[in-house]
Amino acid sequence: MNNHSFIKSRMKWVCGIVLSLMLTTGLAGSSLAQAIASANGVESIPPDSGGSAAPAAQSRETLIKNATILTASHGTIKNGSILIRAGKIVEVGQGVKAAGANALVIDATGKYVTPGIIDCHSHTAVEGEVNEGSLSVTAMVRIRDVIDPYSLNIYRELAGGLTTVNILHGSANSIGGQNAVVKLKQGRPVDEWFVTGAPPGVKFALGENPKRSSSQGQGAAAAPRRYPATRMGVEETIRKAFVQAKDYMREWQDYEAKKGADPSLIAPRRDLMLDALVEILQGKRFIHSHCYRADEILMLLNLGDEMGFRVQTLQHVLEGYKVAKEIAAHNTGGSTFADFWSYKMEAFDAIPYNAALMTDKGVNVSINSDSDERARRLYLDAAKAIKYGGVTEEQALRMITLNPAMQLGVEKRTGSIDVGKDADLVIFSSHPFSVYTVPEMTFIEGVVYFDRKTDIERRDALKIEKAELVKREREARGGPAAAPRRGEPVPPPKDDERK
Amino acid sequence: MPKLGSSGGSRPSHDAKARARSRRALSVFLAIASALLIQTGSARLDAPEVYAISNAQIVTSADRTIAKGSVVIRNGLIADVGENIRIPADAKVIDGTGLTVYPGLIDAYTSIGLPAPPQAAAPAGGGRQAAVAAAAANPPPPELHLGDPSASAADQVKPGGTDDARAAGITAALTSPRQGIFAGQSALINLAGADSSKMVVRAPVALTVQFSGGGAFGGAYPASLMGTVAYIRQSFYDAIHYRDEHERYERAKRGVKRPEHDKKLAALQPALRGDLPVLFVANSDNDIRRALMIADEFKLKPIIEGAMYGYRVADLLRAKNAPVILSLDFPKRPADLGEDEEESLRVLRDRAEAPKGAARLAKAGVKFAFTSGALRPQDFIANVQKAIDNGLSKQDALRALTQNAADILGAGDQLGAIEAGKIANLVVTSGDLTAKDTKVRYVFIDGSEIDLKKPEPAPARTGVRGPGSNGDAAGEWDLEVNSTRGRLLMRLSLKGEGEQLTGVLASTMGTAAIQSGSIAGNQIRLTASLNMGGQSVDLVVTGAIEGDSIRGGITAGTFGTSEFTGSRRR
Repeated sequence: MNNHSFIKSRMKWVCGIVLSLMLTTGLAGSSLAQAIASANGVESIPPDSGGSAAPAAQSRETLIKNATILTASHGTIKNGSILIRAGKIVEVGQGVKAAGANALVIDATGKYVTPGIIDCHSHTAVEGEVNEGSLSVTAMVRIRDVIDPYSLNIYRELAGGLTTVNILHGSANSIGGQNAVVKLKQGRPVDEWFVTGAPPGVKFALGENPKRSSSQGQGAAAAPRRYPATRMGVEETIRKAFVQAKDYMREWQDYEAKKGADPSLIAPRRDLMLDALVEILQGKRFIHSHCYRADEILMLLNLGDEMGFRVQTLQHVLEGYKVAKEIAAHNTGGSTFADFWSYKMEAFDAIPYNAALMTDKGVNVSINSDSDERARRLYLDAAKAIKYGGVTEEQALRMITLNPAMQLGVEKRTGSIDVGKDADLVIFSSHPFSVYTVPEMTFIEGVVYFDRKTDIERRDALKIEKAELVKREREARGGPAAAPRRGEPVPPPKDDERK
Repeated sequence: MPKLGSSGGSRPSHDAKARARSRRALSVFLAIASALLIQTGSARLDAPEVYAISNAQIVTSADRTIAKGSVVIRNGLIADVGENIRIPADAKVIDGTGLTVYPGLIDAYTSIGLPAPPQAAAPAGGGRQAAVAAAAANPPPPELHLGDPSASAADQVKPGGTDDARAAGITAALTSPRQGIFAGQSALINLAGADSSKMVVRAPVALTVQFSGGGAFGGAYPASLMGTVAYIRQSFYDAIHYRDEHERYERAKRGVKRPEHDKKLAALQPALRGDLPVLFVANSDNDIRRALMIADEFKLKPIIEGAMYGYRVADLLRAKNAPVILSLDFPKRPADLGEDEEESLRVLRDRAEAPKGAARLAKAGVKFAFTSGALRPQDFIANVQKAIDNGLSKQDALRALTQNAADILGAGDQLGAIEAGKIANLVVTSGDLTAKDTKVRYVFIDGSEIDLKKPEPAPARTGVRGPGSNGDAAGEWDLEVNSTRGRLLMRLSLKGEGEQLTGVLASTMGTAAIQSGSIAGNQIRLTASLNMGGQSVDLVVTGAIEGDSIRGGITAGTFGTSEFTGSRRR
């Protein structure tokens, strides 16, 4: 069953509401994604927690030497070395030596090392629907509850040098669910994936997606639309939610103030949706808002001024170049596509110079994937900012490392190659902005989560294992024990190409 | 007829009518007894059922076997067991030479005896779009989707439909409502008895909670897995607030506005107090983690049901001291997959590993019982053997089927072993319990011998053909399914051969070959596995045929049960 028919049949069974949304937001290129995934050369499966190849919890002392190090924070170091101990970068520079005799030493002569790549907009490895599409305000739902650590996409992303991702709720709702900032520690229990200290967030969305989310069917058969159905309604939905959150906040503050004096008082009803909005008002929780058009961007920034919230990142922000000064003045980041546009009316004014122009005006800019396919080659998308906008190599690299780290509030831990940071690193075969480059090794906190050499070595063993399992099942079924068919590609997965 | 001797020794009945009946019966008894006083020693009309199984091998529990001994049953209880015990003169003696007596087996998660849940009215004709519009204009009751934690299996359970289970040696089962996220409260029942008052051993046993992934028609919240988790958490927070409000009101009523009564939030209170375990339906390790997270947040006593991939988190289950009701409905290659169609290595691995799960849980020290899932009872027992073949010790297998199940379901003092004073649920077999050629010779439930051949009187809707002669199910059936998501059309093609049915179930969701199908009288039972994008959903179809029409229910994984009606093409 191809991806489209799978999605359609699942929709019929599970929930019709998000179909139109999926077709308009981000489904583009998903069958392409599978084609490219097979061509990517990464066909084997990741080690899982049951296998012997499960990565260790703690890294070995490791020295990567003789590499060209693109630090993303302080320029390029030629013939440099990086010493990793207890998951942290302890030394960077020329002439670094490993202290221990048992240290793993990797000679990276001729190769490039970058910080682990960070994707500020992902829907990868979400189990079930990525939208809680029943309501337009769903800040109570949490991506962290539904991360599927077995998703094959994670391994493909690791193979593309990705180490940290911001997994977001979909864009069907004015105020969507809570995001999760995770490191892709595949094979480790998922509880270890969450980046401790990463500020929590909520996905917001403006424009087409939240306003047309419930339209389904045509003519007389159309179901009534969910409110809001216009951009005005989206603004009002968000305003109303924060008015409600302020009442709720006051109710709790009253209770906290009076409960000592009056023991008969009971705590107000805890509301998980309003809890999240109160945290936004208190500055403890980020807003990551899907948006395209300049008018809606200004609307949200102004609404924030009115209601007392700050927008941490504008996601997609395709017309950000038109209002870059205003975005910068609000200390809001912009996370955009490199050159993906015109896939819907409100994306017609997108230009590939967006990242560079926003950078020029002082906006912290990242380039994201919003796609399990583009997520595997964000380094090439970053390179496009050099071609179109003329940013420097380091500026371009920062758009997929240090800048998204700052946007996600994790820049103290990751995003650049600096002493004291987590050893989240990628070794590339050549310059990461070359179309010929291949990520060879991906480290998270000093542990190797992808190694192209090991991957290639394992492929035959995995094929034999598969043939053996097929043979045993056929024998058990009493069917013909057909000869194993060596050399055939493993088909792309059916279950985790989701948006 | 009420058994006179049962009121003292058996479990207490909560049914006032039953008590009234036994009082009436007692006066009758006294009258007869005085009339028959001089005839003691001969058979008495009111004689309690007394059995003795002698000269048998008796496996009293997973840990102890009596090579040759006897069991005495009286008044529904095990009166005595041992090597050299006195056989009472009034006992009906069964020569157990060459036979083995086991504690009655327990299927620890079923919906035996429960009615199909009420369904939303579906428009007649008009197809899916009309159904969408109708559902949006006239939304189905929220219980279909959200469930109702106050729903009680003990109130709803009816006898019948247990012949196959009893013939396989299953004497008791947990039965649980299945509809919605908070499906309701389960009951431990004995698979015999004229009505629920006689069947229920213990209720409520646990509150069933399931992570329903799908949304309701009309887009009711929650419509996603993450929404379901949030809904469960919010419900428990609401229950906490409900408790606080009511406690405050209990302390001082004057001058305080009376809090509202809410049967659903009231029903969550025993779970919040830790008095009532919460049974989470969770097969994947992802679901298990979610369940344990929720249990931690609200200090619930979790039971994990399903746990097909629980072995991946065996240490976590052990650390959380969470008992498991393990499904033996091992994943199978989808029947509609062509012989040459490939599957991923992960899927193949999972299928190869699943039968080893029980052994791994045992090794990790997790306490577990078994559930048959969608399996037929005979296949359930066969899969116990499969788990044994994959490393589970026979003792641990028996423990899972008996003592562990009783303990997890809170009936450790009543069931699970052959000990004096326990309920007389016994299975007498020709040999090793799970071996392929072993025959079940006798089954006792509540001390009564169960007729293993004659089916129980069928419940309410009986067909035109009497029991014993199998109806003709062959043909092309058009089914109209009243699902929570509106009306669905399915085509069922059946071929019959004796009791066996084969065929295909086709719908817009895909086509599934019937994995196991059987007919007994006019009752059909089919299982199929629908492959939805790599995720398989188990379907169980039960129905009654009357001429060229059929009606029944389809249970789809955790999506709940939907009623259907249909007709045969001519």
